[in-house]
Amino acid sequence: MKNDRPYKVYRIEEGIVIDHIPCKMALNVLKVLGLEGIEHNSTITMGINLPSSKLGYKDVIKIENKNLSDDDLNKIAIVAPHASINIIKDGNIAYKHNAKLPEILINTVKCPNPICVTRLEEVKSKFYNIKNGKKLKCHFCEREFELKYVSIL
Amino acid sequence: MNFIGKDIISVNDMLRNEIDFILEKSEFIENMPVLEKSNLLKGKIIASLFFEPSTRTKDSFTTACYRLGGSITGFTDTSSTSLKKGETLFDTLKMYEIYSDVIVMRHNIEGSARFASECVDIPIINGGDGANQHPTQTLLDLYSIKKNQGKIDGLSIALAGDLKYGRTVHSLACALSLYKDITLYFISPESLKMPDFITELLKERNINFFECNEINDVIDKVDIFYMTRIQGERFPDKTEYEKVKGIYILEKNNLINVKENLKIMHPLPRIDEISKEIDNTPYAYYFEQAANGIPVRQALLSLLTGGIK
Repeated sequence: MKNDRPYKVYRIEEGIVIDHIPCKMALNVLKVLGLEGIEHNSTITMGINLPSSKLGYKDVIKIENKNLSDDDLNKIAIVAPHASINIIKDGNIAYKHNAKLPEILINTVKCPNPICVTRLEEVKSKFYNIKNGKKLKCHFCEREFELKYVSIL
Repeated sequence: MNFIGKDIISVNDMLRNEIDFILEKSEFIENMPVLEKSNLLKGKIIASLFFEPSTRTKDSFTTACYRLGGSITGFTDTSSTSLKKGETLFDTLKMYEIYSDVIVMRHNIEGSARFASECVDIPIINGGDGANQHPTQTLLDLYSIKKNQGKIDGLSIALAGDLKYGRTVHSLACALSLYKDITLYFISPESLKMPDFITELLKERNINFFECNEINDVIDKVDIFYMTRIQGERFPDKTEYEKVKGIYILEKNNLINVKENLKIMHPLPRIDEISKEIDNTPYAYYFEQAANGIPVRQALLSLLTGGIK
C-alpha cells in the first residue's frame, strides 16, 4: 500500500532510494556511484540536512530507473556506513538493504599509502574490513586506515 | 609442520607455534656438524634480489646459502639489470622464478613482497619492504632473545629510540605479543612514539606496556634492552630529525644497577646510540645477534626447500 505522507524529496515509482546517509555525504555517494556526470538517463533527486529520528539530520538520494551492483553497495558502505538502500517497484519498497562493508574489498578503494605496491604496479587493490568496519587494512602494505582517508577507485 | 613452498612475508602471518618451530630448527642447524649441513641446499639456487642497499641481510643470506651448499644468483644494483630499461617488477620476478628455487627480495616499495608472492609459484622471503616488514630480522631477534635468556615468556623488554619509523621494533613488538607474561617498555621522544596501530594491538592482546622518555627510568627493570637508530632518512621534515638526532646514547654509566642477565640488542647499523665502551661488557649482544641471522636464515631456506623438515 502506498504511503501518503508528504515527501520533501520527490517520490519515485521505480528505482533506488538511499536513505540515512550521514549529513552532507550525499554528494560523495553520487560521486562513488559515478552519477556526478550528465551521461546517464536517471532522474536524481536529493535531500540534504533532512530531519531524522535516527540520525538527527540525514541526507537522502532518490535515483529513478537505476539498479545497483554489489560493488556499488560496497562503495556506498564506505562513504555512508549506516545508509539503507531501498529498491522501489511500482512505488513500493520491494527490497531493503542496509549498507554493510564486506569482509574483503577487491579493487574498490585506492590505498592512501603513496608507496604501496598497488599505487605503482598493475595489481588489484585488496582491503580487509577490521575493527568492525571502522578501518580498512591493505592486504599488501599492511597499513590500516580510517574509512574517511580512503578514496574509491 | 610443513614449510615447503611457503612464503615468509610478514610476522603478522605467523602463529606462535610456527615461530617456535622456526626457532627450534634454527638451533638445530646451528648445532649441526658443518659437513652435514653443507648439503642441505645442494643443487638449489637462491635468487637474491636487492633493489635497495643492504649489508647484513644480503650478506647473511649469501653466507647462509653458501654454507649449506647452495648457489646464489640475482643482483644488488638495479642499474645493471633490465629494470633500468623499464622492466616491471612482475616481469623481473617471472624471470627469476625460472632461474631459481627461492627468491629473497628487498624493495623500498611497501607490500612488494606480498605482491611478489602472488606473482610466482616459488617461495618468496621478504628481506624488507620499505618501512613495512622485515620478518627475518624479527625471527633472528626472537632467536637471540631465546638464546641469551633461555626463554621468551615472562621477560621484560625495553624498545628504545626511533619507535615511530623503525620497522624492526614494530614487528618485534607484534611478535612478542604472542608470548606469555611479557612486559614491554617503550622509550622514545614524544615525536617518535610507538604508533597507535601497535599499541592498540597490544591492548587487544592484554600485553603490559609502558611508555617513557628516559633510559634510566627502565634499564634496571629489564632483561633485554633493544636500542635502535634514529632513522634520519625516513623523516619527511629534516629539521625534526635534527631535534632528536643523538637524543639517546647508551653509556657504561647507565649500566650500574642493571640486572645481571641484561642483554643489549640492536638491529645495526648503529651510529652513536650505543657507546663503543659497552662493546666489551657482558651485556653487549648486538654482534652475536647479527651472527644469529645466519642459522635463522639457514633454517628458513632449508625449511622452504625441504632440506630439513
